[in-house]
Amino acid sequence: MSKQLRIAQVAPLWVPVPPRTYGGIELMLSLLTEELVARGHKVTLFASGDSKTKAELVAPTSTGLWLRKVRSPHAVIEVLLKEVHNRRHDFDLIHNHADFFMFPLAMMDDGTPILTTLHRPIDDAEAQAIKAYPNKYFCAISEDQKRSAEEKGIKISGVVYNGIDVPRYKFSNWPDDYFMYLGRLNDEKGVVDAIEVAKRAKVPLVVAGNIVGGDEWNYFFHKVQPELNSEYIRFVGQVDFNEKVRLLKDARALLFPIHRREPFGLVMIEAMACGTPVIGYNKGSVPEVVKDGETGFVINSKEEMIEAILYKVQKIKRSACREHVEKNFTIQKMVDTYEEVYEKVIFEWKS
Amino acid sequence: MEKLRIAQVAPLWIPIPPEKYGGIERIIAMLCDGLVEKGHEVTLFASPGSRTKAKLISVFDKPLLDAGIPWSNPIWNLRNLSKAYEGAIKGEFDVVHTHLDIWSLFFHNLTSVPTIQTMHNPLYRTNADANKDDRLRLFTGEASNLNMVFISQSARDQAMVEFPENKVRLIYNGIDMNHFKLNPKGSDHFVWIARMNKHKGVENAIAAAEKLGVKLLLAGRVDSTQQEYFDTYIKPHLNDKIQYVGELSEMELSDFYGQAKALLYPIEWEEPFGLVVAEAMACGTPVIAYRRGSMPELIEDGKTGFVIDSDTNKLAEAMKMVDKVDRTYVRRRTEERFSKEIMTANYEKTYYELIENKEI
Repeated sequence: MSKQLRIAQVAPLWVPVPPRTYGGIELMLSLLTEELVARGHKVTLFASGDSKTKAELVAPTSTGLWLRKVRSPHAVIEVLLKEVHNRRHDFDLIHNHADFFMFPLAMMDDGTPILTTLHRPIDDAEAQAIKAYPNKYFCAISEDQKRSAEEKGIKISGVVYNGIDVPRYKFSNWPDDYFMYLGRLNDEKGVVDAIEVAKRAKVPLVVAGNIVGGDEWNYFFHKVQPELNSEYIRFVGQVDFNEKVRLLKDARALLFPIHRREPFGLVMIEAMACGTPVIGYNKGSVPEVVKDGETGFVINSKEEMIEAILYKVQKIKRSACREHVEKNFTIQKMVDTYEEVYEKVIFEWKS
Repeated sequence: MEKLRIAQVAPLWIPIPPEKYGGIERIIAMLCDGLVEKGHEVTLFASPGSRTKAKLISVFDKPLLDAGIPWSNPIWNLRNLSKAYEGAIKGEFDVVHTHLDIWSLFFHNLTSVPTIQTMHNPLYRTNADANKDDRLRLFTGEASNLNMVFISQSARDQAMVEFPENKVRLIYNGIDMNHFKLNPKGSDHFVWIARMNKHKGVENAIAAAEKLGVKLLLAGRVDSTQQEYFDTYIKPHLNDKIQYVGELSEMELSDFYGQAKALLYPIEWEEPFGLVVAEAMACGTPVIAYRRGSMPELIEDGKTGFVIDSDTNKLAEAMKMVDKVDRTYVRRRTEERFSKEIMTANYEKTYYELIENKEI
């Protein structure tokens, strides 16, 4: 085991850690936090008060902000900044998962290095803001995201793939007949592509996922909902963890027609952990996470997705999908890599 | 007195001063220029395109509204504050004055340079923004050690946060008296001006004018969110007596107010200040307002206008009495109480006090 560290983990405050339903960042952060505690590190988690953790919990808000229907996070983010800042000397490292909200902490160079994991795609405006602040370290969650960041002039101190608690994902070698879409029901995640593909391929598709914010509701009402009324589509909306695993493990494949440069795509490893191959567009992290032809298919169009659904996906060995996750995307692997990055950042900060 | 190095931190949505609508931005513009004219070294952290005598620093290359950044995304306002406080930490300023609502909670503790914050928006729940409630509650426990400026006694009294007496100042907004000319006579019609919405009482003004059969001119922006309201509740009343003249530029305002017999301001919310009230009075035009928010503070009942119960019959009654008001007196009192010079002097005095006893 590496040296024991005093680490602050700073969550975005929208939903609790771990999340009740949707919340990839919070789920990953929960696994990271608990494993660090299990390894003997002293961890302080800054998160909403409805979070559950073995780490010390500091809660600037009693419940996740989405649950409180707080539309503007300004005040509570200020409180969070203040709490972390006041205790900065208690930590060897501050690990930030709340992206730019915590950048002002970097104004003080008298304290502790701040490592930010970039969980979301980096747009130009955010890159500009990142570069405007001094003294920060960044971690990417895929090699492609690292390239994307470096193209925008942001130095990346390490790449850490997300990991999951694989034993919690039941494996099935004998799927049902349907395909699966799971994710936000918006344009960039490609839900409408998935629906169109299923209809054209004449295969059943289960559509699960949630909607956040007015723009997404607008998109859902105008672009998604009209497409749901079809013999091939079963819409189940938002699902909890158990339901998610049940749906994933029985699916023939996960459709991942992503339109954005996906930084990681947690749902892909969740599907493969259940033995379910992934058919995804060749964007962002997809070719890193999916082994083309072994754990799914990395394709370039709706036509190729239909072809993979109809003629190719049955050739994938579901056990190979599971093994791929067990080898590359576990909590242990993720935390091993984070420990290396922490040591590296602390060393650089001191020298 | 020693000259000060002052940081002014503005919201980044639009340049300063605003082209048309934007009360906060107009106040900041006047304050900055006024302080520079008094010899202070002022650095304004605001959007590019701002016209100011202060030194301008812009952290983003466009006004946020032009860049399509939603108001709920604080990335640049946060960077703007950070930039100002980076300067303060390095000792570049004697005082930091922020106009960004409740953002300085974290920042003000980073430096011994004092921060003062003007609370331009209500720090209480209003029917104009009911969603604010929860946000305010989050803020409640943390805000009481900030140095606060309220823009009326009413805004302070209703605040959901208890502030210690020595942390709070009351400074009324000011206007540029040169932009508003005294019209000693007015004419026969009444006016109403605000952003077009129910809370600003436009329907009450129309109802009273219709009762008396008098002419009423309505002015102000119709936001896209208010178009339906305008079409449904206002448009059907428009005719040769009740007219909508659109959104006015600053140059058009003086004539608009000055030619009016009175400004009607029968508001339905606790308005913290009400710049249009001061602007109308600067032209000598009396104001008839409902007794809500700051109205009893701004208007001297019977002398610079009338403050009445929320009732369109009483509004109509007051409209009949308005000829008794001495318009020269209205102008003079406005000059004494709401000029930009008075506002600037009050802020300047506050800065000196904060610096003298840094630990207030």
